[in-house]
Amino acid sequence: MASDRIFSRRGFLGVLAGTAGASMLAACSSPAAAPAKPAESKPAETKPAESKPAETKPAAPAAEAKPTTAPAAAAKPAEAAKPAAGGPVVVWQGLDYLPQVTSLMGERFTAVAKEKGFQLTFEELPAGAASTDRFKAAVQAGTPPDIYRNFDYENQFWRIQGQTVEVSDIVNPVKDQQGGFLGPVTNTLAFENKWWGVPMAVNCWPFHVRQDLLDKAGMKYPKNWDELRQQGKELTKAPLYYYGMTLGKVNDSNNHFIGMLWTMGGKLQNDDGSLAAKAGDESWLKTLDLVTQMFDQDKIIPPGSTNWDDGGNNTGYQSEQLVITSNPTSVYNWCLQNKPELAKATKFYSYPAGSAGSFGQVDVWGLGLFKNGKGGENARTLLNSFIDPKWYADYINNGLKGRFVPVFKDMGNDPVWKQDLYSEYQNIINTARSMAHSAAPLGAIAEITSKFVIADLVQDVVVKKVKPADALASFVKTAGEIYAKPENKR
Amino acid sequence: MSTLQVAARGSVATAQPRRNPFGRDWKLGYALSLPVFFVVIGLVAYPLAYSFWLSLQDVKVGAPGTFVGFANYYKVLFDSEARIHDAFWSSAWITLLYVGGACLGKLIIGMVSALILNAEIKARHFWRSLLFLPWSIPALVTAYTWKWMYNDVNGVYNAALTGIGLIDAPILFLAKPEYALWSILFAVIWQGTPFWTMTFLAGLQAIPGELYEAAEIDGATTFKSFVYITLPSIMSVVVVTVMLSTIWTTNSIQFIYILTNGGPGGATETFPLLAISQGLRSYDLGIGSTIPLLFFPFFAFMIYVVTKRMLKTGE
Repeated sequence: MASDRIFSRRGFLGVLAGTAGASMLAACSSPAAAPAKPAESKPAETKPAESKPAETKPAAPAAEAKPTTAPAAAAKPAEAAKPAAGGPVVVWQGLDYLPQVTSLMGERFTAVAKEKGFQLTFEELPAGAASTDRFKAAVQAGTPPDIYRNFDYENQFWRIQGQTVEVSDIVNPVKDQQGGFLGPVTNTLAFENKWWGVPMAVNCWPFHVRQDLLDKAGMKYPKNWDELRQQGKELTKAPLYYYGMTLGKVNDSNNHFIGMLWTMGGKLQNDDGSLAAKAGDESWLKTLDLVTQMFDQDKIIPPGSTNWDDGGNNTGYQSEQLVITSNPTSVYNWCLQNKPELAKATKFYSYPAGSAGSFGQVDVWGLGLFKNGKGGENARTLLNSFIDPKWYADYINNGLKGRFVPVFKDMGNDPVWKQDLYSEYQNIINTARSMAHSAAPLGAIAEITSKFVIADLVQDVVVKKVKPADALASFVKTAGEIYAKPENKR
Repeated sequence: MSTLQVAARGSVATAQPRRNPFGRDWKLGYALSLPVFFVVIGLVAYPLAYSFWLSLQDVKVGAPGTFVGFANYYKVLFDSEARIHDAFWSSAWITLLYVGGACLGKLIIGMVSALILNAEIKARHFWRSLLFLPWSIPALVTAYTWKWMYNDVNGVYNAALTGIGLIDAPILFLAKPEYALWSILFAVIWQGTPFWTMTFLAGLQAIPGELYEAAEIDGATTFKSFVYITLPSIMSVVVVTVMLSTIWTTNSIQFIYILTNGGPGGATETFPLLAISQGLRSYDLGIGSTIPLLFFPFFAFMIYVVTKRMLKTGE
């Protein structure tokens, strides 16, 4: 009988709904702030790499995206925030081809966190776009890690967006040690005599060269582009192509083109940070002509390179289908681990000379300290421990064995750089330039690079067969608009 | 009992209780609807509204934005001086070609396959299983497989064609603007057709056999049976499949991303890929949000049509 039931169906559903609602509210509410714990001396957790997708939680627009009638230029870069009292530190690092790059850093940070008694989460993210997309989403949501590795222009980019804090107190005490920093390091990480990233490494772009093939053909590495073209025509026999120049809409295209441009006397930026390219600029047109001659006439560049991603030339070299290609030594390290014979047959060289000479290409990596991190002083402690010259020398030269050039000049005298493999390296380092040469990589460089405006120029000429002069005029117009933005001059 | 008394009693008996304006059991109803409400607000409405808000700003990732009203929309749609304007219209055209080509290919092949599999053929179950195989492979795996097969240096197609002497130089399936989109379409159609076949087959099997028997007695040809019986009977299935597949194909980027990443020279850059490259890769959240929102009305209309049809079919 109905009257015997303890619960009516309606009552039962009501209780169920109430419970569900309460559970949801409990789940949605943020946990109460725990009282600040005294420093624990338990070992810091170093989480294994997780391949969690980027959080899709939309960022709260409330404070971040207020409509403002003030021009963007008025938005000042972040003031050096007062370091907060130490909390748990979160470090994200994208995995490198060489796992020791992150694993040794993780070990170091873990040891320091344990010694100082604070919590650390050191997370290795998958390499490539998946990690950077996740990081950008976290920044936009206001939940970035405390420390994140920035590539080249990203260091200044995050400063301009007001996301990173000044780290001069960490860098200044060591900047004159070991012969001081290499030129591009200061150029990339400092702004108006303040440091906005802790120097991590100088990433070199040597030409990986199949010395065995040159020796077999009785050839020497070409001194200039004319020799390169001649040599290329003799050695190219599909499926073996001579020059692995990336022509796709990717970062490597930017690097390969700019490296070549320098040899022709051109550059992207003037000393004052303004755009150096002009419509009809001879050095740019000569470079574009050279690319089209090598691609269309000599056919020494693989035809598929117009659609390569950043790994295209790596794969080409690793699968023994290229004689030379310019790339960071991730290619060589892959060969060491997977094809020792190919590694043995490889030698490094700088760019062949053009009318203006030959220049080494580098990009600079820095560790950024993000203002929305919760680690405060503890995060600074970790960065201090990283740039400690004694530990850093061991890390960069013994731990990574040539993967990166050290940021300190004198550390380049280490025996590791005296090997025959690196005999040409000193030449690269002495003439090293980063993409932003000859000024700092400010907002304009970030936009030019991330929007692949240079790669578009190359594709216009090589794929769409636009006349070099017209393509350059279009590039100058687009780049000019980017350089004209007030926020790109800070 | 007088009739008057009966009438009075009757009127008492039928007196209506006062109605609650919210309806019966409204508290319980709202309480049970609350989780759905939160889900819709949190996972659909808020992100959409936030995306719209971003599209009204000049904003880079991590930076405070500047309100610019509909300037981003104007720039994308009408500012012929802006590079993004050309890129957008090019991507819209490519999207149309890509989706139209993919849907047409899947429709024709899917329909033919379904008709064959619906007929009394030998080893019908084996053929059905074989035909559904491409659909059971994860799209990422399929995309990479096609990428390797298309490879200009050591891909199976070029190796085979060179081997039998049909070509001297490799065909640049993915690196030549003229071929790239068609190469992607081929892979997409190969992977997506089984779904169409399956839905059409289900529709075909629901058609009563008596209709065909009656048509045969009346002297209808196979073609006429198809036009006057088969097509009208499965039209609702066809429409829903076309609509759903259009939405999925338009939004899916994995094939293009892996095979060409929009290249060469933007020849395969559909609008979702353009939005990603602008928003995340190039840090420009304003333009990155504007691009997909411009297509929102189109999708909303498609979803409305699909929903209406499905509900109608359900009734």
